Amino acid sequence: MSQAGSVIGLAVRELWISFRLLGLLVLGVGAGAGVALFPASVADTLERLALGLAVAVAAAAAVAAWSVAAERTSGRAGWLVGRSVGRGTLVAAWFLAVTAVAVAGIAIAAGLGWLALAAYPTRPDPVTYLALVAGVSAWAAAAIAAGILAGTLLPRLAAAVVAAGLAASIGLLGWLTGIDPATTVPLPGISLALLAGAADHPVIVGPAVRGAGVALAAAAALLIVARAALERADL
Amino acid sequence: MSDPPGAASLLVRALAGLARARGRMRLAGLADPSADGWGRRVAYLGPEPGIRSWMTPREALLVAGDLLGLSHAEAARRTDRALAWVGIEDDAAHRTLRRGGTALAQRTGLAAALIGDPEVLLLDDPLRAVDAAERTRMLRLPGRRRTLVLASRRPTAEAGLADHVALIRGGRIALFAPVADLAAAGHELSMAGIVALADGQGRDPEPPPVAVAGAVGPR
Repeated sequence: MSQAGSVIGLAVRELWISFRLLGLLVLGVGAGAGVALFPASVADTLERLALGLAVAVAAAAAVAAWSVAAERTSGRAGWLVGRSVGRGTLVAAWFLAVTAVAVAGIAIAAGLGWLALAAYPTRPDPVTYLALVAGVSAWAAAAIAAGILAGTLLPRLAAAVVAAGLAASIGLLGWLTGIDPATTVPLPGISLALLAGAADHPVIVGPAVRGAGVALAAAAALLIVARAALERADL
Repeated sequence: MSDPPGAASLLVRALAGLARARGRMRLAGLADPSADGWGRRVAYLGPEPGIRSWMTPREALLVAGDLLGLSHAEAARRTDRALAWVGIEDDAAHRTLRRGGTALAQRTGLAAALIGDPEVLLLDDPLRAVDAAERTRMLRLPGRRRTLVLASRRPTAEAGLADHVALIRGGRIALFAPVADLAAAGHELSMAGIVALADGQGRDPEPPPVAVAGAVGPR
């Protein structure tokens, strides 16, 4: 197995044994179950699904921040660096591990949400729904990257709080900027707002895709900064 | 050894690439921890081993071997040898470090440091939970010549390990001398004796011919 693969495997096992992986999956499943088990109008269903996904994304950012800060301060990252694992590899491994789990949770939630909307002819069409879910997943990746950056700079609790707060506030900012696709600013979290308002406004795929692109670009930039921060950190 | 305490530890960690520092260094012919082959030629062991507590010693060593690019068969062979050297028996080797306690974790840390058969071993006050005599035995590594750089706050406990002693004071090397010089000057291997020898020299010594990596050892 490649060195990167080994480090990703260690990260996933660490998440599993510490129950953080289970927690992230439960939040994702919970967001979907919350709409599937309690039927409501299309508008309410989409809004509750978006809210549940927002909580799951904020939690994923907090988990990423806590995990990286714990690795850094406990000596575990230093142990890996002593075995010729690059600090950039550490950043990438934790990003991929947490993002994979978060996206799996989002996918499960989206599937349950689609089932909840099955009975309504006014639900969004499948392509639009998939684009919105992909946008939310890209936003999750950006939030997790921000969490990893926080984890390279701050102690565990502070990093988790900052990461969750940042994810929640930018998601809320996307909500507050309005959900009219004609005027929507392509913020990273805009897909959450578009999902919440999809029943009341004609949604087109474009804004969701643009928002996803911005989110992925933000994730890449944040990971580069996180790697630079970890290069300067004492392990 | 250092005055105030902590400077030697910081130096060893900087040599290992775990603490940021300015300047240049060269260990085992390599200038940077990111250089190819560093992990096999230089190993670090601190007061905390940094191994995940849910791992067993055997698993930790196999992972260490995998990360260093060893084949599975070679990693398994070196794992058996390293576990035997640090005195971890078969049943303990399959027990998680969380259940095995601090001494098991520290022994595993040393075994993991040895898995790459390093030329240079950077030791920052390691194995304190292990009996002193057993600790000395484990650190008298067999086989080829190696360089041990040992940061210690209790030099008396390092008797029998070091050929040379260095004192860091005010960010500079205030003393670098063979251990035999301590006895010749009527001092014991203790912090007080080392400081007395450094003060008795009256001036800063000539810098050692190699970087501080040569300060203790080779054996």
